[in-house]
Amino acid sequence: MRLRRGDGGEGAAPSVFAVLAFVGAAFLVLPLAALVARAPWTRAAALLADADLRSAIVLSLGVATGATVLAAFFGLPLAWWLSRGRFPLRGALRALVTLPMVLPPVVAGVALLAAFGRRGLLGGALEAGGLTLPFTTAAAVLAAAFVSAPFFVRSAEAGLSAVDPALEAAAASLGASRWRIMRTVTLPEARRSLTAGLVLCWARALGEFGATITFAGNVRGTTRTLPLAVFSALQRDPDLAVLLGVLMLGLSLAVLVALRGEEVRP
Amino acid sequence: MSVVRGDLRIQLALDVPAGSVLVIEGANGAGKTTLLATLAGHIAASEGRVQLGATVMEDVARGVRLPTQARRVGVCYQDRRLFPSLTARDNVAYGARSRGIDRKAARDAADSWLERLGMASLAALRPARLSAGQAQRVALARALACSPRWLLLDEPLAALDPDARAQTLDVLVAALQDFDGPVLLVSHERDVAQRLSAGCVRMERGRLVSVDPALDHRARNVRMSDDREQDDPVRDDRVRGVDEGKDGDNGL
Repeated sequence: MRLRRGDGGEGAAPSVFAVLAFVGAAFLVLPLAALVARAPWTRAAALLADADLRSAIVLSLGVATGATVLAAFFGLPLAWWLSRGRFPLRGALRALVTLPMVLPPVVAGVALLAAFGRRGLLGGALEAGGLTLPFTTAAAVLAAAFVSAPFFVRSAEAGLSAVDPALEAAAASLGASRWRIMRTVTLPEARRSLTAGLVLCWARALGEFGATITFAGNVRGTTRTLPLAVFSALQRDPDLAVLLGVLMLGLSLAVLVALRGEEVRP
Repeated sequence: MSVVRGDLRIQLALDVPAGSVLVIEGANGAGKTTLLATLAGHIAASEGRVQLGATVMEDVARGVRLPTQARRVGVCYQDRRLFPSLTARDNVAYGARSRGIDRKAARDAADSWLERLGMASLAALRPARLSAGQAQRVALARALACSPRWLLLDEPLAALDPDARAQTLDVLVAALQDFDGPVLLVSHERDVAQRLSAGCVRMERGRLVSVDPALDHRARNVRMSDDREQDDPVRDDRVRGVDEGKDGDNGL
């Protein structure tokens, strides 16, 4: 017979753990509860009717979705390459691709300026082509994509690596082309990781602040996404900041629910 | 032909004429499954040649290696390898769909195979909901339904209960009677070879060690008497795995 945890109490935690665990949980939960408690529910309707706010919401959803589409379009082949490719320095490439996940976002913004800013590495070339990125919505999308794409790439790579190569071999024996194998066997087999990666990527892009404000600026209606709107509102109207906070908390909760049961490996 | 996989080195010469079945038996680890994987193109041979009729599938010396897709082989894998996201019907229809046949026709053909194997009522189920024996029959149907030029069947009757086994063996016998390509079948069970009036060879540690006395065994080639070939030259679809070893044995 297998002992279940707690049967005899031998695995019980020292009692000091209970106290520490309580403090830890309270620290994580209390601010969120305070956010909801402080929300100006009576003014909510009036505040949410504000046109600037609505544009920030629409802009945020659009930027996060655009960043996710970019991440998926280029990230899936990249994840494929990382999981299947045999080339030197694959580990180094994987580390480099992961780096934006742990890089301070403001540094990501400075890096994007250094690459695509007007005086950046490619800025001259872009400008010659009539393209100025900073302070445009496109820049906000790029900033969000830069910090969020690794979430998709890593999750997709894990999923692709877990697909049984025997299934792909079987599909090949049945005459399936590489595209067909990918479409009918590999991607369906990896779909849980791919979806989890998309959701994580979207959530991270939605919350992006540091890289956006550094690279794209805080231009109302163009680059002022919800996190930037929260930051701006805090100086003018803290009630609005709290309300926006509650709104984003709700979105984050929705993401958690969407990921429920998925193995999340960022 | 020879292939090296870890400690295992397979080295053998085989010649299976079109329209005939060769049963391969042998203990676990003898290399039967590896042999089939090499012939199917999943593993690269390290020496020698694989040839089906006039088509050279693999010739190590000349650097020729057809991808699995181009080998037109029907494989029934021991571990079945059904596609989990597809229904039994779509698993069986997969080969036809891969060759560009429209969905309706491919599914109709799949349904008739499933019906012959007593699986008609389960066609809409996904593999996860099938028993091992049911999945086995779907895997066999998938291999037979993909219009192959030759067949590699790895323990196609394992995991079947007695009734299903009898029915499946009947279907297999009938299907292989109609089939005019060569067939390699791995099986431990003697009655399979008898029912298929097949030749039988035994593999041990990567080599052929004993051969059914009914077979003409010379120069390390296993070949079966092949009357049909003379009548019908089109039927020269034999599969050959030739060992071009040190002694310069060029097979046929």
